[in-house]
Amino acid sequence: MMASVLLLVFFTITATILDSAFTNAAKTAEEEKLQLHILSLISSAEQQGKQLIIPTYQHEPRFNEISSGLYGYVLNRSGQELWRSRSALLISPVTARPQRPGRASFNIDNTHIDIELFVATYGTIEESQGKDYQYTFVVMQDNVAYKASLSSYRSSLWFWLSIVAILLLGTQHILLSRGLKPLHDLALELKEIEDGNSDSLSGNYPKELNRLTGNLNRLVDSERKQRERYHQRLGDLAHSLKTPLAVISNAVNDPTEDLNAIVKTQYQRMNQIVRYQLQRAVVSQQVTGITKVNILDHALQIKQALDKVYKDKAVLCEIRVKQECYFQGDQSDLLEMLGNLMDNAYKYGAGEVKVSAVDQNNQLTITIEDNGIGIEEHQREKITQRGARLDTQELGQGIGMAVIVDIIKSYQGAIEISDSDLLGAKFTLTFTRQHY
Amino acid sequence: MRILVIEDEPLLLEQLSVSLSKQGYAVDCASDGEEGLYQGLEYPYDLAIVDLGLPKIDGIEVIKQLRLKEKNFPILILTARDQWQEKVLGLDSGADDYLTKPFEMDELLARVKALLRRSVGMASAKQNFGPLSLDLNAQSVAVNELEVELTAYEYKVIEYLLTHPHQVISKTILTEHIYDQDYDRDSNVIEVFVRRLRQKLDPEGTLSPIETLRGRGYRINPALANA
Repeated sequence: MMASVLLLVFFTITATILDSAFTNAAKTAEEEKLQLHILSLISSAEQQGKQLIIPTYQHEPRFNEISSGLYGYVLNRSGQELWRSRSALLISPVTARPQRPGRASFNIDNTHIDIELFVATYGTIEESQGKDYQYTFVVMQDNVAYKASLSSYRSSLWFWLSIVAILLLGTQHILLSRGLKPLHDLALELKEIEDGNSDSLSGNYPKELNRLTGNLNRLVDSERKQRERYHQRLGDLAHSLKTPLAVISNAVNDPTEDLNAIVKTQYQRMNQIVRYQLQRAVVSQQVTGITKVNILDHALQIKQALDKVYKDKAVLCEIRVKQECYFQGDQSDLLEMLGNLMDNAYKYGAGEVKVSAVDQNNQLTITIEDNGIGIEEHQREKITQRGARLDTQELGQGIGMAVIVDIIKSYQGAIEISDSDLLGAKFTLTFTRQHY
Repeated sequence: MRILVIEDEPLLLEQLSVSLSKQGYAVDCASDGEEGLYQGLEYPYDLAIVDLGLPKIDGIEVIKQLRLKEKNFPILILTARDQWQEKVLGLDSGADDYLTKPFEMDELLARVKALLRRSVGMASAKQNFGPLSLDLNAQSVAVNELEVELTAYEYKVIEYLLTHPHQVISKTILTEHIYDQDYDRDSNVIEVFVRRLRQKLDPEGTLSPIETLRGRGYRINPALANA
């Protein structure tokens, strides 16, 4: 739309400039023509004594034909008319002023009804018997022909410009609607997704839009997964809370039960459930692979925090991560994984922790090792499963591991537990970088 | 030891105050960040417990301000959020430990004790000063392995002196650290406590565990402190 308006403005300006250039050129041509007529009049005139003799019939036939549109006059020094061509016999007296010798002028005389006249004058001197006689030659011509040529020029100018403008606007419209068609289709498809009739965008887009549609698909997908996750968690939460609530409700009605003890155990159970479900629900709120999170910075942040908390233990934590090593995902997800695993390593290790990360061949590997008692082989699979708790003494460990497993799963990564060179447990997380 | 608790939930604040007082701590309470920050800057505390979600001034900001004004007592954060981002943020701002809500009161008391012990530079809860030994967990003092029976305030006085060995502690400082702000103070009471402590800890008059420095205050006998 904007482009069309600009195009129209451009054409109007072009037409105005062309029109004014043509008008000026035509006027100049008229002026030159009239000057030539003056020169032919001067050359036909002859000074004989005090008299200026000009033949009645001129070479230019329009001077001889009455009201032909071309009129010639000669004025004396004081402006009195000495001669007029036959063509001017029925025309009112000339309005031109006498001109000094050698001077020329060109004007438009619009004092006449229905007609405009171009008026050219030229001052000259004739010499006879040692005496100078000053005359002013005047030629007038109506501008009918001029106007006609101007109007014919104008109509053809506007005609062709309009045709070009229409052609350009048409081409522009075709190009734009062709070019914008994929965007239009995209809007329609998004509306379909919004209305719930479709799950994702189709792949039928020009390759320039692939990145956009890819990102949109990921966004839509992540939003849907998040919604499903919330929905599922809410259901899980409600269901899992019902059992402890039932136990308490039964105990209230049973005078033989130790209400205090029951409330305490059930409270712990409910607390565990709420924390676990809450943690799982907030995992990965952002679209995977969109943000770049620096691993070293965050590992150092957690090390600093844990060094404070486990000050008594004086844990030696070594971080082997290059500055340019990044996690493609959400910052809080990385913090959650590093925080839980490093916390475990500080807690269960015997004072030595090693964190490393390598980004190679589009695969990011993060390892967290400690020098604790390690994890028995048969327990390793159990610990990487949701909600599994190895040590019932340590409240919260089960939640931490389950949350880590959830996060890793949402990034299509993997977790493996093995033996560390430090003699304790070694957790290896691997993520494949997504291309987009 | 005097503890500041900043928590906006009145029931929890009350529970914390009662539990900590039962443990023999002097407890001051604040129910919003502004009041908490004012008290933290105004009075000498040995520890603060700060909830992160506070009205008026956010918990993180309170901690930052306290640290900025060089208040170096240990701070324990209480937070309802279980995420590492929150924990890191809190510890980064200057706190020393965190506890997620809901928590067991025993867990909180254990953390408080550990933080207090760490802040006075004790590696473990038990420490010997020659024949004298202090057990922060049991809140008891023994001479030659024999526990001495002390009243709550007598224990508070000797605990403060033993956890600050090599320092001369004025009666004002002692008063400030063993009583909360609502208590009507009379520093003569301290003299009474010290006299009774001397009698109980050293009935024979051979150890002289507490020295009086005239016009300045009290100090644990350097011979014991260095032993």
